[in-house]
Amino acid sequence: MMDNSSERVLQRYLGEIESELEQLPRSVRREITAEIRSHLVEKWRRCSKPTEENMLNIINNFGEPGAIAAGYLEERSTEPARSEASPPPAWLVIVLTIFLWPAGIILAWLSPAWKSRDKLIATLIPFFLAAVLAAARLLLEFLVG
Amino acid sequence: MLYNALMELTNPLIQIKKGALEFCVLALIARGESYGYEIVKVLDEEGLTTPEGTVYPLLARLQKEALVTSSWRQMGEGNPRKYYQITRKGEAALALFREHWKEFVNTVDLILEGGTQNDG
Repeated sequence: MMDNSSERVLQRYLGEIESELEQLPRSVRREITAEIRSHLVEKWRRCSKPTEENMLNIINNFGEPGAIAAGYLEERSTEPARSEASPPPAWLVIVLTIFLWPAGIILAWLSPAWKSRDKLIATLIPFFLAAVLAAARLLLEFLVG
Repeated sequence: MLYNALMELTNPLIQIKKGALEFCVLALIARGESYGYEIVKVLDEEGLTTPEGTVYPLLARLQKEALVTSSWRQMGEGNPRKYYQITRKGEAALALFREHWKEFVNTVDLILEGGTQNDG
């Protein structure tokens, strides 16, 4: 167990780091300080004498709270900026269409609420759409080319 | 004078070291899952001493880039540790870096030693 004074020193240091990381979400800040705490506690326990003075030395050795926080903020700022709502990737749309459309059609054919004629129309709509799109593309290529 | 010359010499080396450190940490995790304290210790033992505080933001970035994953573990009443494991993407990135690093070191060596590639 850690004595109270060492614990207080440690808490103050972690608190300073956390306040420097204000702009990050709380869960991220907590994760960061938990990991640093784990490091400092392990080092302290391995000391010949786990005292408050040694805790202070270990903390000094680890670095200034501002510098530590800057390290984390720098790592985050180098990541490419992403738009808030990115559209679903094309592969996902294709996969969902391929796999979900048959499921929908099977359900439609099983449903007593639909007449056979409606079921046939529902089944043929995608083929009709595909044909229209293909025709439109051919026309476009013809016009551009 | 001497101090300035020394600084000018060491600064580029610090930059190179900084860039390579990321992959040294990744290589250590590739040997088997590890946690921050151990990584810092092994780096130190292998002669690549770095300020302890710099390794942790670096680990955060490796995880952000999905080169490693992590999991917290606690043994009984002990101090919980955050263990890192390398991912497939991490292994691929490491393999690529190894290749490029060797090439880079060879090229720099050749130039520094006044290599014989000019006229052939």
